[in-house]
Amino acid sequence: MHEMLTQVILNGLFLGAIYSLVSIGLTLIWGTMKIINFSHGCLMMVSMYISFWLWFIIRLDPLISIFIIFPLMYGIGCLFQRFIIMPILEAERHAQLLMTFGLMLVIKNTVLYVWRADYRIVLPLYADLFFRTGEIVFDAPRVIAFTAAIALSIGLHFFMTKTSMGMAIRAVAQDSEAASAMGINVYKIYSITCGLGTAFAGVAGALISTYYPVNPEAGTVFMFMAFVIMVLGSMGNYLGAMVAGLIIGVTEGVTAFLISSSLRQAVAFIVFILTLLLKPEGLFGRLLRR
Amino acid sequence: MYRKSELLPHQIHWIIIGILAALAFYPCLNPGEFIIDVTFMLFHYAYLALCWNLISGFAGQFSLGHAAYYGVGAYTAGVLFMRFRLTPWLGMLSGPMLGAALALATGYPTFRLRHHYFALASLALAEVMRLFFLSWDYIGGAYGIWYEPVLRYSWIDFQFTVDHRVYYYIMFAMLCGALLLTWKIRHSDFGLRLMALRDDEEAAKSLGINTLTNKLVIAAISAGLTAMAGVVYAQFTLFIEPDSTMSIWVTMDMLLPAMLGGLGITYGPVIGAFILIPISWALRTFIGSTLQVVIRGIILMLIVAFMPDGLLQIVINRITRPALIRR
Amino acid sequence: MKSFINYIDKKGFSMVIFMKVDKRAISKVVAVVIAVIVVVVAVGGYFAYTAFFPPTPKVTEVRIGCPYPLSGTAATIGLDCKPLIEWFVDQINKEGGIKSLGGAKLKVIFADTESKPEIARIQAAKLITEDKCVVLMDGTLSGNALTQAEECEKYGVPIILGASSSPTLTERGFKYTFRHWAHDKMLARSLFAFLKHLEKESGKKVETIAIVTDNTLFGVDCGKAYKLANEDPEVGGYKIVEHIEFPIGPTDLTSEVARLKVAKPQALFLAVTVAGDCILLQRTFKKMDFNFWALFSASGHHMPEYGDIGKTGWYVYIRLPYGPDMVIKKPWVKPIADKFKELTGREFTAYPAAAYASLVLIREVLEKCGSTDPKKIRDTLAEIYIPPEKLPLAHAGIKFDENGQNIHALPGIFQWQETGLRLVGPPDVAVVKPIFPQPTWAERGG
Repeated sequence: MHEMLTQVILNGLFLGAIYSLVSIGLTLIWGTMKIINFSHGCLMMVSMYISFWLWFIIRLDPLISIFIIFPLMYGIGCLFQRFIIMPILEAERHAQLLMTFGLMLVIKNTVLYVWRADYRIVLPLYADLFFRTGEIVFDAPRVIAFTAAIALSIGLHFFMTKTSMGMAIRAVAQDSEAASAMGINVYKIYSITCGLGTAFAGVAGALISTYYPVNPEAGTVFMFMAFVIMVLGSMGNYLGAMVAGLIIGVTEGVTAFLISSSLRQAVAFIVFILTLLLKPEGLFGRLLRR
Repeated sequence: MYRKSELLPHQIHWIIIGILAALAFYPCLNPGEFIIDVTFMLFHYAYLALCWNLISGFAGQFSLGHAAYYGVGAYTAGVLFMRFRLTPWLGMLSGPMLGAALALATGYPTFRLRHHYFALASLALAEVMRLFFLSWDYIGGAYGIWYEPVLRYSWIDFQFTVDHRVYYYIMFAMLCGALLLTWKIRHSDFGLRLMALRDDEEAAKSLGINTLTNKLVIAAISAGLTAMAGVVYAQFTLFIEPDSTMSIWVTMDMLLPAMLGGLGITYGPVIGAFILIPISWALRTFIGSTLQVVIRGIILMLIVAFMPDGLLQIVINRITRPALIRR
Repeated sequence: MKSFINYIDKKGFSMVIFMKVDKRAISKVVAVVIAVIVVVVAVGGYFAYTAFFPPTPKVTEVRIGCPYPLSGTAATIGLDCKPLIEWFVDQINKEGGIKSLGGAKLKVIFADTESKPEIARIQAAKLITEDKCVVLMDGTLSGNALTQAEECEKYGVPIILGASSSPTLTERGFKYTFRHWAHDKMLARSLFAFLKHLEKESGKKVETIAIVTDNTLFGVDCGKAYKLANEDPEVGGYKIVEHIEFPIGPTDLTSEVARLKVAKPQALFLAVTVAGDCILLQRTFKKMDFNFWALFSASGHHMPEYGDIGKTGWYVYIRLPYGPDMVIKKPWVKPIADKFKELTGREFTAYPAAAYASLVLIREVLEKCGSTDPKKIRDTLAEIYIPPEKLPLAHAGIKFDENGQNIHALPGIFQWQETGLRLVGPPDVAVVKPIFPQPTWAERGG
């Protein structure tokens, strides 16, 4: 029983790291542009499909395809910012919400129409590789995904704190008018942030396609979790998103194990509501706004 | 943000009344059940859009979880009928009461949240309710509530499977009632206060308006009315499950006509529904449903990009502008 | 009107602006109003047109309504069945149509139900009232079948259900609902009976079982059916050590499998609607080295994508009315399966096979009945017997009881083995022997 609990917690961490990656993208976009992107999950789903087709047609391992997916999704993110976000930057908030929601409907149903609701699986060479100690097992796809996610987050942190571009992004997130007055091209920063955020979601999609069936609905659940994590980890705070993601991943797994599987998703929403009511600024305050 | 007043010339009211009268007599021509069904759905969504508009358009509290009240209404009627053999008309009374109570209970802590947060919180609440209802066996869980159909005409059982025209009239009456209520609220002090707090909450507070109370009242009204529509849905479909009554897509179906037609305008949701529903049924017939959703998504995006305040608002702007410029 | 204006004035609005509005603005108003009226009239005209759609004389054509989901969650089924149905109807018409009706041609009319119950209801009503169909056939979700059956009962048009397995559909005393597929209680019993057979053959007795379903209508229904079957001493009597209901489409199932490992069941009874969740579950079993003797599935494991995971997915039993081995038992099915592959690019599976069987049934009924009166069709359906040779399914024939349930409905029990999805039961029709208990993950290797 205790060994199973340990396994569940461990798996929760692995899953949580993927949630974090998706959530980091969401929180970056919010931090700079103050827009909640409902289509984030869909974009992740699209990258899952790209990863699948690359594997299916030319047997390119998803981990290698990340090197293609990252720049591709970055580009898509920039296009997204230019054509979807720019027109509504100054619009009312409900307009912004609905624009991204509409985009989600369009992307998801186009994928549904073209590729149908069938499940596609990627079977990389290491799909069945694992390391076992007693009852606890570490399986290769999840461990690799976890490691990649953590590495990317640390990389992001270095980027944000040590490079001038990263500091420019943080400046814009803190106060876009002041940053503009300092000579930073705010629109270029928006573009970069959007690209980065979408690229992170894309990488998450590629990583998870190694062990999760690809289908048009896949993005929705991850996106809801990403919202919860974004708020829990303080909106705009990417390190907070990392930590909150791990927390939610573990909470979800432990709840399903100890209490009931039906509460699996509900518990995340309950945490969400409690956070909004009790501590809306999240667990970590505003890292970007210091 | 300054929003133009939406008053229409009084001639418009006569024309609208004329159209409504025509719709009232239309079923007497016996046009066939399919058309009655589609028009029923039309009224249904126009009504729902009106209810949603009350809180989101007039009070500015963007609710993404309105489907929760819809589901509460449907389930109240279903449970009362199937478990206790009580007529669904009782559900028409108790459903709205429960819906209003739910709105008050959830509104009290969430109304102090600002715009985005409130929208997300309402979405999360609706999802929690849906997931909860999926696992709650007493009311059927994922199995839902399967009505024992009374395949005849029964007022006491609120089932008219043989003649859908009764549903048509009930929904039509509800739509007219909701329209009237919306109009009265709009032209009352209460409505003024709501719009004031929508446009600038801090300024409204400084004027002495108790924003929380006003929000709660309109939330309760809106939720109660939505629940009533839920009861009618239950009696029409005779099958209730959490996914078709409480999911985010149901809320989307409610708000799309309101956004298209005009947020915060009395007739907006109705116009929006009258345009959207026939188009979506025509699309369904000719190009299939998945693409129909794609097109609806595109329409949503276009509305948001080019006329975020809705069709009617543009019409009103065009009417009022010449006079204002002259001033 | 005057008091209306005064009322507005009292509230301090500048309604006065409108009173002073000039002619251009008024004509603009009139233009807008006219535009609105035109839209409403155009819309009304469209509806009026479809309302007064002239019906074609029935004597040369028999219309069959197919309210299938062509979009939404169950779209794959509808999109699979549609080309097959259209092709088969074409074949029948080429062979001379319905001879007892003077060579009347069959015509199928599809209506997309979007996998939603209220749309299914409206579409069924439309098919009957607008398109004048005399018989309906459906082959999917029980929730949709429910509302469609009600509409059919109301109008007195028979509906033939091919794949909806909820027992309630034939327990409501409807006279116009006919289901040739088995319902969940029968199917659950058949799986339990098969387990008993496996125990007898191998000499190993199962003590503990677990039930795992998703939280859809189908999953919950099957869960109840399993429990019910277990209470029957003839086929059941096992100890249920765990009953898990997980939300459909989860991101991960490790916790659920962990609970199963703690409970240690020897056999699992599953009802998981989608193949993706089945795949996730199976791979999690392997990862966590969760071993048991047998897994019986109600659905999901028969989709071709499940076969893609290879060895990991072996030894699962699934109950189906049709599987690839049926062509061995009934060679005449092979050209149909090949044609299906040609039309859709996919393997011929249970749902299209059930649709095919429905059409065979309809054709036989129409030939025997010699009339297009729905009531007469219904009466013929109540009495007709179709021998198993005419059906591509595992049924022992078609004969409906007074509730419209086919008493000869039998699933075949298939097992995924090295050679593919093989027919291993019931014992008298098996093509290969079942492998029980299934090898452990260590024994399977790799």
